[in-house]
Amino acid sequence: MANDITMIEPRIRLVAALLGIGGVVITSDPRILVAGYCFLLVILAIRREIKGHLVMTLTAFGPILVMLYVLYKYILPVRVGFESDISPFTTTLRLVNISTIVYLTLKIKPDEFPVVLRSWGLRGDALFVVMSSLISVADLTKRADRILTARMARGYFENRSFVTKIVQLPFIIRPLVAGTLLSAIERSDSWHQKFLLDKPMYFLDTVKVGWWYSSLLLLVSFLWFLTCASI
Amino acid sequence: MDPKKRGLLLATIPLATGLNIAIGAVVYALKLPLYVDAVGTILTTVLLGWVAGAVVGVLGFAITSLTLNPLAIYFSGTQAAIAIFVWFMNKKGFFKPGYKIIVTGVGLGIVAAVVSAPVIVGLFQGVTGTGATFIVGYLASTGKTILQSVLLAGIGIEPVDKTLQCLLALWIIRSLPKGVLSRFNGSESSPESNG
Repeated sequence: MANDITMIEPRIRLVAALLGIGGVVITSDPRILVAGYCFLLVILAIRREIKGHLVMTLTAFGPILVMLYVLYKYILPVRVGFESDISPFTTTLRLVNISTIVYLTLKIKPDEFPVVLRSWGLRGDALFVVMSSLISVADLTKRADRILTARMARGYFENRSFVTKIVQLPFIIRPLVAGTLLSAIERSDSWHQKFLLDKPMYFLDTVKVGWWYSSLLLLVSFLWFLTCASI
Repeated sequence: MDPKKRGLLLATIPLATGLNIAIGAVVYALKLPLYVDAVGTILTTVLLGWVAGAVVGVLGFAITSLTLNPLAIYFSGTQAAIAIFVWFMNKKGFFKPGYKIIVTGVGLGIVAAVVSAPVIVGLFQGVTGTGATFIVGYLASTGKTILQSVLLAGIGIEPVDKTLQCLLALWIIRSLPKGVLSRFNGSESSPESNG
């Protein structure tokens, strides 16, 4: 069934991302960075992505904050004559802000992938490769599961616990990769025989630019950049 | 481009990208002192050339940074460098069993460390949240600059990881039937045919 997808104008999305990242890079005031991140969290909450984002952010940046603190507050000051104005909190906050902006810029809803990527200028083979890559992980997970099942049926292990899966990892990788390459050949042959690669792509969904959202985003990012530059 | 070759490229790149993401995800979840996130890049480079390998590496890291590890995207350049280096070594006949693959792995580790170091220093102030940070801290406390410390720590750790990945890729390639290998573009210089 065809859908009408409203999206932010791609060039405005790019400019807003650059302004956002530029603002983060030029400011060193942690209060501004905290305020900026809170704003990004509001957007994530509206998009109902806040929980996953927070888990990912804490997992990735939590260790960085701790290690920056240990390095710059305990290890390096031992050195004679060491001086540094690097703040672990500000550095981490800056990284979190940049990553969240990149995430918000690139993240697309799964059912909107083809039309939105196409509207970003991806065509033909490039669009095909990106689309296929996005779904390939699910394909490989299914394949790895089949290999595990086959090994279990042969009596190599008795349960599918986390530890068992880790122990079985080296035995999974080789058949997984070999199977992947073989299926790549099979797919390639099938496409070639059916002339699928030469057929034009058709999209049922249509995209329209939400100019209100786009203008608002541009305005907010411009104001953010100006605020960062002036403080 | 030859339609068969094009079809093979279009079928292999997404699957190799998925492979990079999947193996990298497992290792990232286990917090192992290794990365093992370039097996797909190395395989694709050996089989289809450096451009395909670089596409696999960069695309894989872009997707990883959206779904799993937001830091991955900053190291996309390293993946491109890996593809170029592996392609070069394969052309020179250094993707073969024995000491040659070790030389390739160690060289690849040094290349990866050198390319990653400016990103780690410039963006992360020397810290990436892995165990390597403690080595960086130790080296920095002995009077070395952060860049020198990151570089030396990388050169100490990366060759092990990259040699492991090269060995894994070689092991997989050698286990493939010759008929499968011959379908890929780089098969003239692949380890099976020239070794």
